Amino acid sequence: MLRKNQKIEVEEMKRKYWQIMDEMQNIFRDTSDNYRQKLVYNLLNAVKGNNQKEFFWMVLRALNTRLDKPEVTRLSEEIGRMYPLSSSEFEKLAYSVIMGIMSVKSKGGDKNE
Amino acid sequence: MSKSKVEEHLNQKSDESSNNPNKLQFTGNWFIDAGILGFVNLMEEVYGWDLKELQKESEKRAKAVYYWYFPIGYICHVVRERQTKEGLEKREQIDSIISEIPEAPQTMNEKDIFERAWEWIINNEPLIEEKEVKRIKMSWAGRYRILTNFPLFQPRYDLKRQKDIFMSLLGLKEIEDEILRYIDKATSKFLPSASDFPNISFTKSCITMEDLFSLNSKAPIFILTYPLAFISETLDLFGYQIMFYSNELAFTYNVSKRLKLYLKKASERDYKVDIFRVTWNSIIDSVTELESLWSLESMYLIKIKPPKGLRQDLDEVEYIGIPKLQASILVEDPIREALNNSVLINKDLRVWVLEEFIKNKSLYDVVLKHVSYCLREKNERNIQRKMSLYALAIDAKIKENNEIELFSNRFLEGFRSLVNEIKDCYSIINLYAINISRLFDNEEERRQIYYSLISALKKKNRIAFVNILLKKFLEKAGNKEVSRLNRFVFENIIPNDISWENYALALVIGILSFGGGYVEEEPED
Repeated sequence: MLRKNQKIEVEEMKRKYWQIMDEMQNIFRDTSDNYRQKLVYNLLNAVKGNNQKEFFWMVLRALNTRLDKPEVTRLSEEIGRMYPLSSSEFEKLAYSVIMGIMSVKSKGGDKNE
Repeated sequence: MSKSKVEEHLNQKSDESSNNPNKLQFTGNWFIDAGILGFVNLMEEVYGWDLKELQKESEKRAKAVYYWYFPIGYICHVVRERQTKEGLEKREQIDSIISEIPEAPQTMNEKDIFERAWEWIINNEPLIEEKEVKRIKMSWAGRYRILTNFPLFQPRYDLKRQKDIFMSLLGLKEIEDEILRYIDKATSKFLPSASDFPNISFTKSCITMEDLFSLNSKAPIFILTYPLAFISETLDLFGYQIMFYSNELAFTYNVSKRLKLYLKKASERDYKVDIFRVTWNSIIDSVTELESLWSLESMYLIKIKPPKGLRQDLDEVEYIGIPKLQASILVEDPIREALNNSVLINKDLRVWVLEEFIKNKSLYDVVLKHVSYCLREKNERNIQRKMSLYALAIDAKIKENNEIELFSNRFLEGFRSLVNEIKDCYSIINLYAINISRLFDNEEERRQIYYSLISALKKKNRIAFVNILLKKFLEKAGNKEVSRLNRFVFENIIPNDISWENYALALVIGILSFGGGYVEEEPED
């Protein structure tokens, strides 16, 4: 039974990461390619150093500029509830955030499906 | 093998077994089964009948096979085998006797057929020996000297007594001799002797000839033939004889035949022989031909050393069956073909991927070593892409499913869904390997990235791996492959603590594939 519960928990977490990724994509939809590229680069460096504090500082600062988006409040609350995270959980959340930003369609390139 | 084929085969088997009491088939007792295999080998050697033909003959004219052809064939073969190099002339004489064995008499009862056979035997001078008494010297010698104490072989027993024993073994005469009634070490050296178990002299043996008759009406015959089930080609190479045993006669017969052939070839060419590899090569060939999935799960290699003086030791019985999981995967043609490859993992070291799989070793490690070696040698073209991707898919799915419980639905359905998952996984990683190969079309760029990716994989550093990849993706943000690959990474690498390395290595193989001219297959879906 424990195994089943664990599986359900893992699936729920996966759903949560997908949601975070989609919301990040919506929030940063109208930003410039350059801005997103720079942001992603910095975030990747923070993940590499397993620096949660710096990572969330950058994410919240970026979210603060997008307060007009309805998803921002929910996402900030979610992050607040989760923080601080184990390094394995942090890795997964961080990449959901980064890949959400990366998956915004590039203005010069192809559309994201 | 498809489900319907399995069922068809099973139905066919049960029909055949219920309709034909004379059909040769295994009993489940390995000793008697060894005798059955030895019987088949004997008849093949003397009369040239293979299993199919012997089955046909024993169903059509059982009396002739068991009471005419068997006694004559057995005695001729044993006497012939007893001749050493010095007895070349006698060997030739017996060969000519064998070539002139007459057809079995028709329309007679069993006893009369045997009487005639015996008469024919004793009328052939070269088969008879006359020292203290007139008898046939038919104890096993030379390479088959593992059955020597049986009453039939006693030097004091004359022709009449030998005939009586033979008739008792064929069920044509009541068993009078106590030594025949109780089956002990005199019959099979695998049974305990009175010196091992002192109470045996009081209790006699727990197994009687009647027990054997109830197991199989021809069981006593098979006591005589079991030494012939062993392959003696290994004797010079390893000092022991082996017998391959599984629960199905046709499968065992086929594997043994191939095994003999491989060993003969190897010894002719002076190859270093690996028994495990040779056996498995034979098994794989036979699986392909006979589609015997169920046999894969219970296979044994029985090794025996020839006796030294009075010592008769059972050397080793090695279980070489593979788990249900591996067996289910192995019967799938594309998977088996992909794994049945040897790959270089070091300058002088080749690994047979199938062997690693059967031994339940990590296929991921093999692929990583193979890819690293090819990179070290700057020879990316030598990477066996299809094998590597299949191995990674199998390894990933086994890791992800390693908590399958006994008697769960998946266990009972024979891991069919797992095999499908493996095929799907292969299609997916193959697709993304092609996608990523299109992304990195510059030789220099590829060289830059794959060394660092392999290094991250070796350190099991997922963050480093994903970072390197995402930074590269960022540079190519406009490319349509990027968003697809992003999703692949997000689905299979980031949240996957169990098998992320398998998917990651598949991407590296994809990067290495570009321009090598061996992106050989398009994805199936």
